[in-house]
Amino acid sequence: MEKAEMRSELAAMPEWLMKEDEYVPQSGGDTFINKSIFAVLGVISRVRKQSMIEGSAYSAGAPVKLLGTMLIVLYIAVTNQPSFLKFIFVYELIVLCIMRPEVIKRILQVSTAAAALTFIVMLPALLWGNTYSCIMITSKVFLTISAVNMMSFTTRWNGITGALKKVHFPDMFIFVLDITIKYIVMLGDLVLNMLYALKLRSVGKNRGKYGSLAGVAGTAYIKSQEMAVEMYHAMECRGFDGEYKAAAGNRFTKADAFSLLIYAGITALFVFYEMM
Amino acid sequence: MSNIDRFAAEALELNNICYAYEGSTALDSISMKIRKGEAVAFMGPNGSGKSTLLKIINGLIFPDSGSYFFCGDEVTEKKMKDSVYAKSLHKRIGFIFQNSDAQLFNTTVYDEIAFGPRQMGMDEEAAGKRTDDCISMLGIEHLRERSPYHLSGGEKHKVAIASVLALNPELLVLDEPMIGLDPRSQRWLVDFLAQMNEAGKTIITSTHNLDLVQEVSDRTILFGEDHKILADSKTADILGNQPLLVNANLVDEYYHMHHDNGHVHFHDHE
Repeated sequence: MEKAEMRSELAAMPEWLMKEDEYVPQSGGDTFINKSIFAVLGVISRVRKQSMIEGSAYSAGAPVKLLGTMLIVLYIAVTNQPSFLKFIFVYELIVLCIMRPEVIKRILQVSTAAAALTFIVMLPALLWGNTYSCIMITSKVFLTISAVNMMSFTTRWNGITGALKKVHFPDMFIFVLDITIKYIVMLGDLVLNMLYALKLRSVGKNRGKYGSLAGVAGTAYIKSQEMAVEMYHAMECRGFDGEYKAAAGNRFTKADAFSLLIYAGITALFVFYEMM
Repeated sequence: MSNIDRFAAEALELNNICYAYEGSTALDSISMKIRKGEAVAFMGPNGSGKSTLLKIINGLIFPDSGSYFFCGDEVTEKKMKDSVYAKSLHKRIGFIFQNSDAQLFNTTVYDEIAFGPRQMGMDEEAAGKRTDDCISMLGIEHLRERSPYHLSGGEKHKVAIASVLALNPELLVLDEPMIGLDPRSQRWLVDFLAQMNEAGKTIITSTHNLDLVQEVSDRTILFGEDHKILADSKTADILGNQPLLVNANLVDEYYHMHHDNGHVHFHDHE
């Protein structure tokens, strides 16, 4: 039998599909979709980069880095000594110097933006003559955000979750963190493809772009629900009984020992300044 | 339209296209010419760069080096920043995503298909006529008022195809269209693509499906794991070259082709 005969159940093609349209699109109206695409791409790219981080000069193990970062954040929050903050500033600058240029740029961008925002919020205090508080709080925000980013930009997600396990964070917290990271990438990919599809079919003046984006968000929500149910079923089939056992981190290395020495020094300095 | 007329002009021309994702090569020196009215399959193992190339063809991403021409006109990142040019290209190239979920964002099937014609500024009557034509052509009248996200995989695929066809593109690009479809839907899609091609549409299909590739394409471009083109030839010739397919990691040494008079083995049964 000829192929054409076998295709008898297909409906006839309409005339307009057999010839080319004479269509000239109107300009404008796609900035919003493009910006949304860039935003989603940025988030996915950041999470993917996080999972591809390779060893750097700042190569202490994740548990040591996490412990050190928590201590530094605590000391910065508690201290009232500008000299101690100056010391931490020098320490962070030294650590930044051994990182890759693009990482340094990213960390400083985030920290400076947070510090600038804090400074703006603190402006009334400055105008009332409370210069000390204004400078201290702004500096603390800058140093805290830098410390946290230095850890997050140099540690893989699985390293961080392993480290959280080592410092006895609850397994369920680690589970939620793990799944959240996974879902950001999976749903991010879906949303990105939906935005691409929207962009490809937005060939004219899209007056209902907010409605279309709401549709994208709605479908992503439904998909996330389906994925969550499927994942729960898959976990049940593999014996999940409500308890999530995360693997604890890695072996102790020379870099860990060196980092611990530095953190011990910072602790000693903190105690010294606080007792002055 | 005669074959000579149909194949007279080039729909696509790619010259030495290279693309990398953050240092990881996805495409390496890809060159090809596809004439109007051709049905071409892109075949290759996972990660060989097929989907990346489809995105470049659709103007969603841009090559790191090399040039891409659509109907004789070079598509560049700079030109795509002009919204009139970008919309015109998107109107002329219809992209059907591998995951139909990614393509459906309206509340009903009717609105989904009418989205394109309404975008083109058609009045409601003309848009409705075009939408109805697409609905009846794909045999999805019963889905008209349903929500796209509540449909089965095959139904979603048909709605996604209808939503793209409503724009009447000159070139149809399909990314792994057979994945997730039952055998009857696969057969329907093969026949549908053949019908589209006979009507003069240029069709590019990215697929792994060796059984159906011969039916959706006359020519196959085979991508290798090194992200380069391994072969560009008639589909039957490529499917008949077992060492080539093994090299491309598409089959193992036990692969054989079925013919009218039995099947041809490429391996020893001893």
